[in-house]
Amino acid sequence: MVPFARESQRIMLAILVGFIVIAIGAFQWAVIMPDSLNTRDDNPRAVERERRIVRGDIYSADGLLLAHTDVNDAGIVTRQYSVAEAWPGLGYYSMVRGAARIEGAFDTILRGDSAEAALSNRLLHTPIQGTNIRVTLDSAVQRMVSERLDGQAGAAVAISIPDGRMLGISSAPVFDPNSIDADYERLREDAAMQLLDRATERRYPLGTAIQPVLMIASLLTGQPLDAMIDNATEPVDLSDALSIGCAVRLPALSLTLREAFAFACPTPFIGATNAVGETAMNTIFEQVDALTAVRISGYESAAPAAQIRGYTPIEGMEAVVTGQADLTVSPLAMAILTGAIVNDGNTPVPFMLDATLAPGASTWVHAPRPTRTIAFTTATTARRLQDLMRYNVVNGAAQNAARPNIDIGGHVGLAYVDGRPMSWFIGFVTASGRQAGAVAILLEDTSDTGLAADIGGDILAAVHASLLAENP
Amino acid sequence: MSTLSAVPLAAPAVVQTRQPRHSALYLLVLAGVFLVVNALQVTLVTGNPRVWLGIATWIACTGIGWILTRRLLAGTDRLIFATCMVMSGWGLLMIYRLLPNFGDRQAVWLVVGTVAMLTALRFPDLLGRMRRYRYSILLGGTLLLLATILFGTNPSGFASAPALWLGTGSVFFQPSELLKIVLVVFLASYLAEQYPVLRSAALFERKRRLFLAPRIAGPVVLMWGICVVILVWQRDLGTAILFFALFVCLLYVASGSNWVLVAAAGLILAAGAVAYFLFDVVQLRVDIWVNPWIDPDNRAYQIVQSLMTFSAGGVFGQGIGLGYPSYVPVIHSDFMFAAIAEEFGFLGVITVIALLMVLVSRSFRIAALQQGKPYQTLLAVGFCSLIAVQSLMIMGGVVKIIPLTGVTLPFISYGGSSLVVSFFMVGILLRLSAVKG
Amino acid sequence: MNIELITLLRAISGVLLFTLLLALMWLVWRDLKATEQQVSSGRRPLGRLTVVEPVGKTFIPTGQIYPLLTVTTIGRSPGSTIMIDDSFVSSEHAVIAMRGGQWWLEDRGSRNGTQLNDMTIAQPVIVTNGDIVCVGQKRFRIELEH
Repeated sequence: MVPFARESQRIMLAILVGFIVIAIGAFQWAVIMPDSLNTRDDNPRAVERERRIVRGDIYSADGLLLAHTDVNDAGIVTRQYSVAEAWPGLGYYSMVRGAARIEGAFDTILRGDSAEAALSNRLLHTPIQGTNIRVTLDSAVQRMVSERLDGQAGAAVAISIPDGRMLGISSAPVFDPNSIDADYERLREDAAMQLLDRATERRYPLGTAIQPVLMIASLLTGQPLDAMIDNATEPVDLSDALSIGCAVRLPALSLTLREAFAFACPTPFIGATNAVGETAMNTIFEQVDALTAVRISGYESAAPAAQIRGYTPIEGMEAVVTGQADLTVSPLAMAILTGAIVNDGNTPVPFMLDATLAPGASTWVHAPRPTRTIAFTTATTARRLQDLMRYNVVNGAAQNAARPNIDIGGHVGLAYVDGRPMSWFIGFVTASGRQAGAVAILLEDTSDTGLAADIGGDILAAVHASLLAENP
Repeated sequence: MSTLSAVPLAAPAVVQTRQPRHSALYLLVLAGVFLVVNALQVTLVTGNPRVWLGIATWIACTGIGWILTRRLLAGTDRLIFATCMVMSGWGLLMIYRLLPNFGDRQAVWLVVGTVAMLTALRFPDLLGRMRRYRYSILLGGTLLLLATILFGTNPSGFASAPALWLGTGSVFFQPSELLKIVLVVFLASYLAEQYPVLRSAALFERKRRLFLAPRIAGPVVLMWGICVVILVWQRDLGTAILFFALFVCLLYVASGSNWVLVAAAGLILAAGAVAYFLFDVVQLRVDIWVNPWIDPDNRAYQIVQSLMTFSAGGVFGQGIGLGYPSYVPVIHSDFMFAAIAEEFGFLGVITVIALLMVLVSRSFRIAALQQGKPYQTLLAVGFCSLIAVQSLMIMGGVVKIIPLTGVTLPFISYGGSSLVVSFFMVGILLRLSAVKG
Repeated sequence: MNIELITLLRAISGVLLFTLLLALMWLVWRDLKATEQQVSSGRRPLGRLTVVEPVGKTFIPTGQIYPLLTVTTIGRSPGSTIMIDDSFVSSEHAVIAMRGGQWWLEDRGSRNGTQLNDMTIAQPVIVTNGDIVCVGQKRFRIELEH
C-alpha cells in the first residue's frame, strides 16, 4: 500500500462526515423547525412583510376618507387617520400592537390577504394591496357624537332603525391613533382606560335606566299606569352610604307609575314588579341578557365575555329593579334595546361594514347585511312604551332632549359603579316612514342626567337630519 | 526457463483516475445556465444590469480557463476546475445581488484568480522551486505577518475591527491568506524529508528523547508560535484554528500516528479552555454559541440572524433578490453561506456542500495519485485540507454546530486575497492531478 | 416587476439547482465507490516481494512484484501464494510469515534449500527490510510497509 494513503483517506472521510453533519444542521433549521425562528417577534422578515402591506382605505358612508395608508419611496407604509371625529370609531392599527375596533373587526378585508395575494407575497414579496371599505358611519352624526362627548368620560351610540346601520359611535376620552406606537404603553397604563371601547367592550349597571324593561313587563301584564303610589320619590338604599333616587330632585310626592317612569324614580317599580310576578320578570331579564349577546356584525372578537346570570327570586328582585345587581349592559346593548322599542318590538342587528372596493375594482360592492331580527316584545307594548318615552321628553326628566319639530322619545337613568354615579340617556327619533334612529348615551362620574339628555337630543337631531337627507 | 504464473500485484495500488469524459463540461454548462437565469432575476428584481458584467467575466474566465488548462497541461482533473468555477460564479452572482457596488471589484479578482491558477499550473518547476526555497518562503511569510502586526489596517475603517490587511489606497490584501500557501509549502517539504524519522519505530519504542530533537519539536514550536501570534496580536481566532488544523492534518499524514490526533484533540481542548478565560473574543464566541437565545439582539445578533436565514429559506429558498439576508452583519464575507440558505433554500445549501465534497474527494484522489511521493502527497493533502477545513469552520459556525470563527467560505465569499489564493491552490492541485503513474 | 416572469425564473432556477445537485451527488457517490473498491482490492498488503536480479554487487528490480501476506508460501504447487514453475523449486519450498511482530523465513524441507542473503538457512530466521531471499533461481527483495 502506498504510504500516506490510509491517513489521507481517513482525513477525507472525516471531512466528508463533517460536511454531512453541516447538511443535517442546516436541515434542522430549514426543514424540521423553521417556524421556531420564522415566528419569532424579533425576526425582521415578519416586520418587512407587514411593512409592505398596503392596507385598504376607510371611508364614511357619505364618502369622507377616514383612514388611508401612505407608502414612501422605500415601500414602507404608514397609516394615517386624518378625521379626528372618527378616531374613537376607527380604533387603531399598529404593526406592533395589532388592530382594534373598525381596524380590528375588518382587519382581514383591509389587509387583503386573499389566497392569491398571500401566495404572491410569500413567493415574490409583492406588496399586498388591501381592500378599501366604506363603513356605515355618517360623518355629521359622528362629528356630533364626538364633539358632544369631548371632555367627558363615557360612550355614545347611534343606530339607524330598522336596518341597524351604525351611524355614530364614540368612546371618551379619545386617543390619537396616528401615534399609537409611541403612546401605547402610556395608554395601557392610563387609569382612564382610553384603549377600552366603552361603547361596546364595557358593561355598566343599568340603574334606573332599567325602567323601560320593567315598564315592558308591567305593560304586558296590564299593570295600572295611572294609579297613585305613595312615597314614590323616596330613594332606595343601596348600601349604608348610598341610595338611588329620582333622576331629578323632587319633594316627597305620590306619583303614578307613568310619572315615576318620566322622572326615573325607582321606588314605585318595586311594587310594580312584585305585582308582575317572579316568572314574568325573570323572562324579561333573560331577554335583556340575550340582547347583550348581540354584537355589531363583524365585531365578534371584541365582544365582552358573555354574561351568565341565574334566576332571580322575588326576594332579590329589589336589587335588580334598581339596576344595581349583576344585570349589566354595554351602551351598544342599550341602543339596541331602544332600537327594539322604536322598531315595534323587534331588535335590530347593528352593522358597520357598508361596502368594499377590492384593489383594481372600480365599483363598490355592498357587504352582506344582517337580516336576522329578534322579537323583544309585542308591537302594541312597544308603541305604548314609545308614547311613554315621548311623555318623558315633554314632561319628564328627559326634557333636555326635546328638539323643536322633531319626534323624540327618551328616558334617563342613574346608576352607581363603586359609589361613583353614572348617567344614562336612551332615546329615539322618528323620520319619514318606518325610518327611525336609536341612541344610547352613558356619562361616567356625573349624576347630571340632564346633560346626558341634552347630548342625546343633539345626536338625535343629527340622526334625524341624516335620515331625512337620505329619504326626504 | 521459468515462467511466473502467480498473479503479480499490478502497479502498487494505483488509483483509477478515469472520469467520464464530459461530466465536468456538463456541470459547467448546467451551472452557466443556472447563473444566467438567476442573473436575469437579479436584474428584474433590483433593476441593476451590472450583474451581466460579472456573468460575462465569469463565462470568459471559465471558457479561457477550460481551454488553457488543457493546452498548458494534459490530463488535469476537469472536475476540480469545474467545481471551483461553479462556486466562484455563484459567489460573484451573490455579491452583485448583495453589494452591487463591490461586484465589479470581485469580477476583477476572479480574473486575477484565474491567471493565478494558470500560473501555478504551468510555472516552470514551481513545485521544485518552492521546495528548494522553503526557508526563504517561510521567512518571507513570517516577515509579512510581522508587517501586518505593525502596519495592518482594516479597509472598513472601524477602529475596533481586527487589522488584518496590508495595503494603501483602494488595494488591500490579507497576508494571512498568503500565509496559507507559505505554510502548506513549508510543512509539506519539511515533513517530506522528516517523515521516515517520524515513522520510525524508535520514536515510539526506545528513544523518547527524540521527541525533543529539533527536527521534531521545531515545526511544532513554529506552528504553535504562529497560531499564538495570530490569536493574540491579530485577534484572528479563525485563522489560528485553521493553521493549527492544517498542521495536525499534515503531521498525521506524515507520521501515520494516531497519537497525533489524540494529542491534537487534547491540545485544542486545553488551548480552548485557556483561551476561553484569557481572550474575551473567544469567550464571547463560545458563550453565544452555547446559548444565543438569551441575548439575540446584541451579542448573539449575528448568529440568530444567520439561523433565521435558514428558516426563511426553507427547502426551495426565497429566490435570488427576494430574501432579506442583509439583516445578517457581514453577510457578503463570512456569512455568504447564510445568504445562499435564504435565497436558494436547503437545496442551495446542500448543493454548495456537494460542490465542496466533489472538490475534496477529487483532491484526495490526486493525493493518492502521487504514489507515495511524500512532498507531492503532502502538498495535495495540505491544500485540500485547508480549503475543506476552512469551509467546515465557517459553515459549521453559520448553522451553530461549532462556535463562529471568522473565516471566509472559499471561492464564494467576497474577498480578493481569499479568491486568488484559493485559485492558486487549485492550480497546484490541477498540476499534481496531471501526474501519470 | 413582472411577477409571472419571476415566478417562471424561480421555477427554472429550482429545477437547474436540483439537477446540479443530483449530478454532484452522483459524482461524489462514484468517487466514494471507487475509493471503497481501492481499499478492498488493496486489502492491507503488509509489504512486497520485489523480484530482483544481481548485477555486480547490486540488485536490479525486474519489475515483478508480489504482495507479502501474513503467511506467504513459495513453491511449485498451484496452491502457493507465490507459485514458481521451476524444476529447482520444491512444491512447498519456503514460507515467509508474521509471528510475534516479526517476519520469519522458514525453509519447508526443500531439496535445494532457501538462501537468505546468499546464506542457506537451516532453521527459521527473522528477516527485515531489504533482505534478499533466494528460492531456486529467483531472488526476492523484502520491502516491508510500516
